[in-house]
Amino acid sequence: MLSPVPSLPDQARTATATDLLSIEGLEKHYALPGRWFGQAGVMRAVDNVSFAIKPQETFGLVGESGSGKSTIGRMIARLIRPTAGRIRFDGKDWLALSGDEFRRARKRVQMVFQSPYASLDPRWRIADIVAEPLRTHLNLPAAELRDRVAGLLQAVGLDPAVADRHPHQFSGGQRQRVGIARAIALEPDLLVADEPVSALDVSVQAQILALLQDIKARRRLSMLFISHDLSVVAYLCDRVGVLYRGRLVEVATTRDLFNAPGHPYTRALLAAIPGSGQRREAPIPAGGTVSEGGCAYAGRCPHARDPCRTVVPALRPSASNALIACHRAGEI
Amino acid sequence: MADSTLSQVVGSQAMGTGLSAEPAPDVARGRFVKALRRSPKGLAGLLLVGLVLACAAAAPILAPHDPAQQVLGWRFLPPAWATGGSWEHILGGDNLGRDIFSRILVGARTSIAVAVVVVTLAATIGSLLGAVAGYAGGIVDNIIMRLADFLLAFPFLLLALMIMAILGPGFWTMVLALSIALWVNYARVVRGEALRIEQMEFVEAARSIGVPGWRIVLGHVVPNVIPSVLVLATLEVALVIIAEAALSFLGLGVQPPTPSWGKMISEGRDFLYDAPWMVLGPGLVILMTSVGINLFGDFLRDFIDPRTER
Amino acid sequence: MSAPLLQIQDLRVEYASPRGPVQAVAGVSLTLERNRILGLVGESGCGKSTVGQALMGLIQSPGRIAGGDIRFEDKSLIGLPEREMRKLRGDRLSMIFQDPTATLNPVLTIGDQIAELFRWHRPQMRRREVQARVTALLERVGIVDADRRCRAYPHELSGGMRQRVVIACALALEPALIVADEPTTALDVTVQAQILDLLRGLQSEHGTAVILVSHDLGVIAETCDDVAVMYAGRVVESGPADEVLARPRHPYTAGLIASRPSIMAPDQVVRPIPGTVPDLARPPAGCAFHPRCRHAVATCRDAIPTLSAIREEPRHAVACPLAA
Repeated sequence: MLSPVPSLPDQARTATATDLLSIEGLEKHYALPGRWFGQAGVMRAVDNVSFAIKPQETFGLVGESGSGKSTIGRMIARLIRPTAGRIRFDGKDWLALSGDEFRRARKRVQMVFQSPYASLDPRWRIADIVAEPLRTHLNLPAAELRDRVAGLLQAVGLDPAVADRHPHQFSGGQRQRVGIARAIALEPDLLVADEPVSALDVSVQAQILALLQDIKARRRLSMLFISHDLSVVAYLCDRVGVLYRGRLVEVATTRDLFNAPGHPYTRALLAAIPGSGQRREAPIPAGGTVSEGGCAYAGRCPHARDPCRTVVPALRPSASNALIACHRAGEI
Repeated sequence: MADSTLSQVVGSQAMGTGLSAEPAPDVARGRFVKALRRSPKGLAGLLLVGLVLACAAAAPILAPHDPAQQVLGWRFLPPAWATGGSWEHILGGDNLGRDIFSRILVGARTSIAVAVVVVTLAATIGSLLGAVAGYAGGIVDNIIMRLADFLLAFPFLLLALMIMAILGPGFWTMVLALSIALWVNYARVVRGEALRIEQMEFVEAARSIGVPGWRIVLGHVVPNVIPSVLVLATLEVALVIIAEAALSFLGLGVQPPTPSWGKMISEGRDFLYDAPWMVLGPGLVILMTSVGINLFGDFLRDFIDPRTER
Repeated sequence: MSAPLLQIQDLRVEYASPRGPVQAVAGVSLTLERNRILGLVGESGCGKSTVGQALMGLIQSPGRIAGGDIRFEDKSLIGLPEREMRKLRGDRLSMIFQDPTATLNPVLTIGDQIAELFRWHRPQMRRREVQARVTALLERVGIVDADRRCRAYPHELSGGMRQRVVIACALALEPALIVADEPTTALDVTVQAQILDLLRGLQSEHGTAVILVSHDLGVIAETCDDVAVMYAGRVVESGPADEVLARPRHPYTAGLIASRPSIMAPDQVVRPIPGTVPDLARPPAGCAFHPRCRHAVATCRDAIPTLSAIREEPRHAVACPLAA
């Protein structure tokens, strides 16, 4: 059922009901430099994060800046090495893959980046940008490569005639389409999209969201969608994980999360959305100190009690089947 | 039309390095000429540089006199436009009675040769070491950059002098000494740029695709670093011409009687009040050359940047 | 008090570019009363920020004000000498920028930066008095422990705190009008909510008028009394924020609202506006929106529609022949 035989065609492999990607206890620590020498301590950018993505599922990671959401995406794309934890991709130990095996597997996890400006080399032509993954992994004859590039450009809604232009001749939305064409070139099973629309204008955001949804349905791929924008996440994702200071505080289906947010932080986040109609009864508490041992949110949480400041809450299933990391999840 | 442009772009895949961002050579030439026509700056630069190069190449034919010939009557002969000057010696004569115009023409060969060879050598070595340092990081980076810091601690000319003291005088040892003294600048610039480009999302994108490291360096890092190297190189041409003068003046570089612009200036310095034309001629050509190279370098930088395309 | 606080008449701002002049603002008229918050909303390049800059006298070469008038407190700001303008800026008029990090001077403590405003505009004020005012201001923008915090440098504060300091600077001399250009775009959602709360609170306490420039309809809906929607250098729709956002008449406003996924109805399909913002060096003839408009008819290509009130609601104006 796990079908880890690498020679099997792609379609057959993802047809299982098991998780495509699973993450266990993922950690990334950075050393904080000391005042003079040595290090003052460690910053836990990602702290004991676990979740799983099923085939064809879109999983959203939301959080504010510094919550560790991009770091998680980059660890999954193996751009950053985790400090600890396991990542399993299609039944295999993703972090242990190396050499040729990793090269083959890497095709199956591709990434869409945030900045439509910085993510395309300004000196490359569109055709070369989209062809880069094909050239790296497949030894295609020139004619086929050309056809593939044209097909990919068409798939993201660009006229193949633009292939010989450079990125600066395109708008942000069009560039993001090029970035998406590059990411789907190798027909990945998992797309890691790191804030793919946050740098775009509102009307263009919608175009890219529609494109991502179309690609997701047509190519039957899974997606890890990283965003700070809850409305966008609500629109595109099946399940959502909420990050706060490197820890997952809640994981739930999109419907549950937005209808009945369980964690106090998720509630604050929802209430903060301008135009959400949810008038804020009390102003959202500012800043707050980071509690050393306890819940990271305790400093800002109106419901915090003693255990919140001393014991790190674990993700536990709630009554509504969501996972919530809060000592007082049942009471509040 | 779509197909033909695509095949053009994709056709150069044979290189396999992802470097195929440039179109086929004949197209590039056409584009170059077109861009040059539109740029007065580039045209002027090319004209000046071309003039200097042509003069250097044709010096033996163009020179009206033997540059080494000393005639007593020509000593301190004023230039043609001054009283007492003659059109036979347009730029006058020097302290030893040699024709300055002829010496400039012939001296161009030495000066240009030194400048071009030194800048090319220094830029190549420096860029390579800088790119390696930036990309590899760690111990390699530390070794290269500490060496660079060590060399930078000495004034540029003093460093060249020290190296020549070890290697002995001569044209090639001078070229070597100047290159060793100059590569550091390129290494520092390229390393800094490489580190900046390494952080760009398009490099991350290439890594996430699985593009091997050397191909990222050749395909993404190098093309984006070239403009900075180009600017630095054009600025250093004049510096090298002058440095050659200083070394030759001390008897370490080009041996007399072979003329060079820099040497002519240092010789003329002693007679600045009585015969200012001795430095005027060589000074002007150095200015002309460096302005020409700077203009052309600027144009070239814009030309290779696709963002300036209309 | 009969004249409105601010009246902009047919303002035009032009930028010289290698491809000819670009009309960043092509005839904008706005009126703002005291004690109101006006939202300027639109996408990048629509000219919303340029209007704010023109108001502050901050248009710099290659840009220039090509026409129109700005009357503030019954005085024309166009052609005002830079000396006069500088006196006005920070005193009667002040601005909050998007990026608080770039706005604050990194080598001055936040207390000194605010105090500097008093030293410049209120030279007669005593040191002690200035210090008291600075502390009071920091407290007012919600910075606790202001006595100690005013000795902090900008880098020692979080993004939200820095923006509070910027707002304190803007408020220092109790201006009649604050222009806030995307004041919360660089901030996290929860921090954004705090800053918007703060802005609204200050407006209601002090009667300061605010022009809030934003690309975010949600921010506008929650904060503003009135709204003007800009597209390609012109106002295409204006009126009370509730009315305009609930019953948009211009196809662009409607498209903007429809293209934003709503947290309230995540199942609703977003409908993107096709195409992209026009090149302002070569704007399309007639209504600038017509190439992207589903309803466009022949007249849209011929004449630039004027902003005129709709029948049902005289305060609600639309620049579309099909909507009036």
